[in-house]
Amino acid sequence: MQLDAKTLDTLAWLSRLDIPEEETEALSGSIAEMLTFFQQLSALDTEGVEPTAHVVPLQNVLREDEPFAPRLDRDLLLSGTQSEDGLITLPKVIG
Amino acid sequence: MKYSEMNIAALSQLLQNKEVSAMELAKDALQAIAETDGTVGAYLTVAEDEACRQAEIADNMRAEGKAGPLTGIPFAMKDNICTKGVRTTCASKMLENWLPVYDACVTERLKAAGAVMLGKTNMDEFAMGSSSENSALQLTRNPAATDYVPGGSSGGSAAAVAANECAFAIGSDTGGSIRQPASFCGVVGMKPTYGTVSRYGLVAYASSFDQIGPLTKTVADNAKVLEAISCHDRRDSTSLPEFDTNYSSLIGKDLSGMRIGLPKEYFGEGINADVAALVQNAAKQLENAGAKIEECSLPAVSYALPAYYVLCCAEASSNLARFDGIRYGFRAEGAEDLDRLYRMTRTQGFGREVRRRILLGNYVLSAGYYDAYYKKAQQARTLLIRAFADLFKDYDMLLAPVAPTPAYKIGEKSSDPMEMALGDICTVPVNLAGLPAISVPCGTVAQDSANLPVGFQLIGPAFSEAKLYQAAAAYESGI
Repeated sequence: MQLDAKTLDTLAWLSRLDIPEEETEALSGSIAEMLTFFQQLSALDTEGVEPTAHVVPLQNVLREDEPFAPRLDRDLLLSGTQSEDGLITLPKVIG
Repeated sequence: MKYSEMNIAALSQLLQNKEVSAMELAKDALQAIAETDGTVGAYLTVAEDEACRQAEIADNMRAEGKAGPLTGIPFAMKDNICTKGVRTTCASKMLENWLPVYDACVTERLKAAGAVMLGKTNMDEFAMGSSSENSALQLTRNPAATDYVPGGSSGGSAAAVAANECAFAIGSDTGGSIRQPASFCGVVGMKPTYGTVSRYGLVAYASSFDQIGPLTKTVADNAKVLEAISCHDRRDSTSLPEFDTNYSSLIGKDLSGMRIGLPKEYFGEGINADVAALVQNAAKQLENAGAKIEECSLPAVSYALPAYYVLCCAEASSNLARFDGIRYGFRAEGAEDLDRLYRMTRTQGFGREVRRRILLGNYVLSAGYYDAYYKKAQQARTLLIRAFADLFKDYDMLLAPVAPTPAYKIGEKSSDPMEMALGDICTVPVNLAGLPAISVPCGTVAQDSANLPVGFQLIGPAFSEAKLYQAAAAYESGI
């Protein structure tokens, strides 16, 4: 089984990835193989079963609304990015 | 015995008796790395200056009477855990030169305990893989047989402990990434209850599964490290508020009255006969130590693997969206607009397996497929959690192989991701249910001219770590 080219294109766009030409065949074959494997789940009777997103019951973490010194300083903002004069540089966004 | 071959308890005793200093241990460990790591390749970064700085702090702590069990003990950190000022690469080109500006909670805890970090260990890129061969930066070899993989994704951490290049190491386990390399390399690895070790500063792969844990030479050492790193942390929204962290409390107590189940599904088709025999033999030894062993059944494991891969790819596709070439690390050259910048950066920065999992994740989350794959897998997860809960009404813990086979040769499975994934069959059920499980060495299998280590795992209900350590230590003391 192979994934059709249109589906692979859509997935690539959703993922913000390019699919290099030389990888197309192997990748679509391997994705299709995994999807076939995933289909084993369809045999499972899950009628009325609640889905589990997380094993820990999640609760909002609340705090008093008091001012505090933020840890998100400029070092963090600019770590490992390309910057100039303390600002992150980007290619032209608006034509 | 050389310092580098000693476990935490022995080193701690020497430090306490002032027979050695933390600085001497750090220098000795750095020397061991210099001598051995050229062959093993466990470390991506050796943080020599940082290690000496922390050793000095550790010696000062001891002089001031503030030393604990890990003060001055040299260790290695998996390279997906943030270490301020020491590069944290996730073994990816995307973060090859990324320097975190903060420490992960686990890093903070170990620094506060006076442990001495020697460096950062190799792994599968973004923890996606089971052999460490998906590292974009380096190959790690199994210290027991250097033609073989060390397992993964925490392969560097397991190899560093096994090769005596540190006294302990920290790994992370999303679908078996601590336990399986521990089994392949012959060390002890614990995947704790989900929510008991903070994920703050752990680079996220699949957030509802990822859990940090220790790899050590002995069971007692493992409990000590977990005691140091386990805590509530408000910076991780899934960190549990209150639980007992006295994990060593039952070590040394006898096993009479303990009920251990052997789920027959873990010993069936696809499990190497030598591995199954070693695990069965471990069961006998636990029985001799006083535990009651009984065969049981957990049919729900049959759909654990597809459910796990659906969910972990979905979570990965979302978590890795942040790597856009703007905020972290690598940025592709020559992009003419923002969309091209994203796509070129991600295509060039991520390795093939990472891109494959992102694509799969986006597939199962897309409109039209969401219910059939993602929701279905979440429901399967619920059924598996219930099945484990039912078994734990009758058993204190379950005993099973960690992996269907011992380590395999480098390159043997790397071109077939499906075959690689099937090797995770014994480990992923634990992550789906958020349970603790410990991998303990139980012998070797002779293959070609190599003796390959094998481990068994003990799986318990949430918060049963102390009991797991009790049983594991009883087994260990009998061999």
